[in-house]
Amino acid sequence: MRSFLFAAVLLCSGLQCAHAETDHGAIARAALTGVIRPGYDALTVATGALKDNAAALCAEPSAAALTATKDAFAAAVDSWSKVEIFRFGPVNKDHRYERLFYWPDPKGIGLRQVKAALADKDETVTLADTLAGKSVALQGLTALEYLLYGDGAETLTSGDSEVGFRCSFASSVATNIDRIARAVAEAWRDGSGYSKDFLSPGPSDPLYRAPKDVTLELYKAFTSGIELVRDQKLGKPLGTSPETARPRLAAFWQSGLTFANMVGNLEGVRTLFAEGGFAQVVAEESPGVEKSTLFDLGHAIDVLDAIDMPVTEAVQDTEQRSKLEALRVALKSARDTAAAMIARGAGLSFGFNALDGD
Amino acid sequence: MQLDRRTLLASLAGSAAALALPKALAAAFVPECFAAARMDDHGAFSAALFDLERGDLRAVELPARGHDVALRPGGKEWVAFARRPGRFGVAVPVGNGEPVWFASKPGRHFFGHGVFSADGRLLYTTENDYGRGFGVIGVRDAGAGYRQIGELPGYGVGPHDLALLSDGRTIVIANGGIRTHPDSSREELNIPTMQPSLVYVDIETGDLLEEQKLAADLHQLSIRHLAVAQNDTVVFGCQFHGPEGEAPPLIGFHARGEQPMIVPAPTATQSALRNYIGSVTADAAGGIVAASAPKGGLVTYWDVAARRFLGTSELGDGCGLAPTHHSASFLLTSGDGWLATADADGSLWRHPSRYHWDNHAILVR
Repeated sequence: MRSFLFAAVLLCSGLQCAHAETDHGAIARAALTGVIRPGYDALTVATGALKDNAAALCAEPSAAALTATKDAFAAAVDSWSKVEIFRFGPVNKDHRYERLFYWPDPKGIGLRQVKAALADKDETVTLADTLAGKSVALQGLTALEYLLYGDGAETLTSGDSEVGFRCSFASSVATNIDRIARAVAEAWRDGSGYSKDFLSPGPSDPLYRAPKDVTLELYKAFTSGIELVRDQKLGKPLGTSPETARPRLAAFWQSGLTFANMVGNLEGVRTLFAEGGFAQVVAEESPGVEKSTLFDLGHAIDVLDAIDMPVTEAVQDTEQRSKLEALRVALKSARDTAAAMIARGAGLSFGFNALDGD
Repeated sequence: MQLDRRTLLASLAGSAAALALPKALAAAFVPECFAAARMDDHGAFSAALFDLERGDLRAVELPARGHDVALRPGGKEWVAFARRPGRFGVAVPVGNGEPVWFASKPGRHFFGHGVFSADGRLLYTTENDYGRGFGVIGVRDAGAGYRQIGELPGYGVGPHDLALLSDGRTIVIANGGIRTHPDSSREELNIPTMQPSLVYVDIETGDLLEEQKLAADLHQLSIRHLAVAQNDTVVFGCQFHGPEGEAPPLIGFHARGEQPMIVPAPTATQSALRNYIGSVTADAAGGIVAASAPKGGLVTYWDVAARRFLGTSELGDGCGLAPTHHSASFLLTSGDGWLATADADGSLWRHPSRYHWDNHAILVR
């Protein structure tokens, strides 16, 4: 296993040992080659299959073709969920992130726009080229989810012209998703501007000016990835009681992929931690904590994976609620512990405002 | 047709779509411009005018850490202040003009906050007369290079945030009650005897119009930040300097002539605030106030008329708050680098950035 620390600069004086200098470049390399690139590459495989399945469904509508397209959608959501935690790099350009995944949408704006496009028979949404210039809410996974699972989706199995429009819309969204995913994967390739800046940042670079900046970026992906699941994905739909629960705030509630999406998010976080260099930083800082972090994340994934009811029912179910509440507490403590160790081990400083005293 | 931020985002993404918009609608899609102080990862301080679509529109390097920013009425200029115990201020035109620098006079330092008179002619800043240990309000002539032309009493120790009421004549000052001296850095010198207050001062005569102190058992609740919401209701946020383990309420409401009302959050949230409110801001309509708790990584929302807790958003080291053009909607800034827009229902959109954003932010236009 590659060492992320320069052992040579370990300095000891008396009983106090100074920290070894963290090799920030090694963390960036591990994250890019072991996590980010494979993550987006897997996404393009899934979105390619989704695009093909949607095209096949429109060419020859059938129950089997719809099922195959839904399966491909679920696979694309799974792949997306793992890279959803990355809010930097090429996905952050040209609103690609929002175009792929328009969420949260508490006021249901996206849904309203999709329904309006269906009602108006707005032909511009049926071609990927023109769709890309439309509202971001019409372009991505949340729009496609409604087209495949929402009211009227069952008509996709028959071939009349009414259905033809919906299917063409779905197919153009799938094509658009695939194009965006490919553009992101492409922009991370070896030798690209993003890769260069990520791997060897210099003082005059626009995004990262020192290797430590990249570590900080990855740290943010790790911590905000857990927060995303804990607060946004779980906390908002759960509310404080069954009465205040709002399951329609959940991501992918229509397709029943809500918990699969969270599982994917946490798998993304776990992979980043395990393969992206942080586990070793933590292990050097406080041996054993890296294992407990991996255990906590694995446990959370297992709990979410085992929920076998849709989110609309789960938020009303006392047993599931208490399980999910406990999970939120566990995720917070796992996040806080690992974050503190990473920050200390990698020499990142925080609390700019919290420690300010004003 | 009512447009909110989300519709804007949804409509803006494709430039082709944006170009096809009728002119009147396109004008409504101009994103909000904000201003705030910040630090980059190399420790360089600056203050900037920015929006969430284009990033920086104008940035000015600061000699040291900044704090709050004040907008000059008319919207053509904003002023960034040094964080206490700093001594610099800088007025930055929204357009191309040169920034104007000014400083506190000998024996004074800024606390990081200021507010303009309603006509934009005078600037009022909270300052420390540290020789005497009292707070004062510096008065500067914005039209004359921010030359200091006078000083009003602050009627308390450690004045921090301040704001102008709708009459254009009364300022309300949060006196934190904590004595500090630049020679002892940021050390707090009088915690056992501190007596914070909320005072209303006539800016034309310098007279004290009203003073509100909290109950004796709450004297260690330092009143630090405030916002003027609808009907001139002053909403203030506190930092508790009493025993660890206690979690008193930190948000208060006050209308002239009434008793201040301190309102707790639900128990779990209250303790999660970690006894520290960093910033308070009213929304565009003045009916909802946001108060940030950077130590707790929470932003709380409050119904001004009902004096009631509404809910929270979570944002690690989130402190700076500004209204947007829309009701119940706020910009949130974080020391961890996030800019976010949030609705009072707790939904939150993150925008990555490359800066550690400082405690405060303002809406410029």
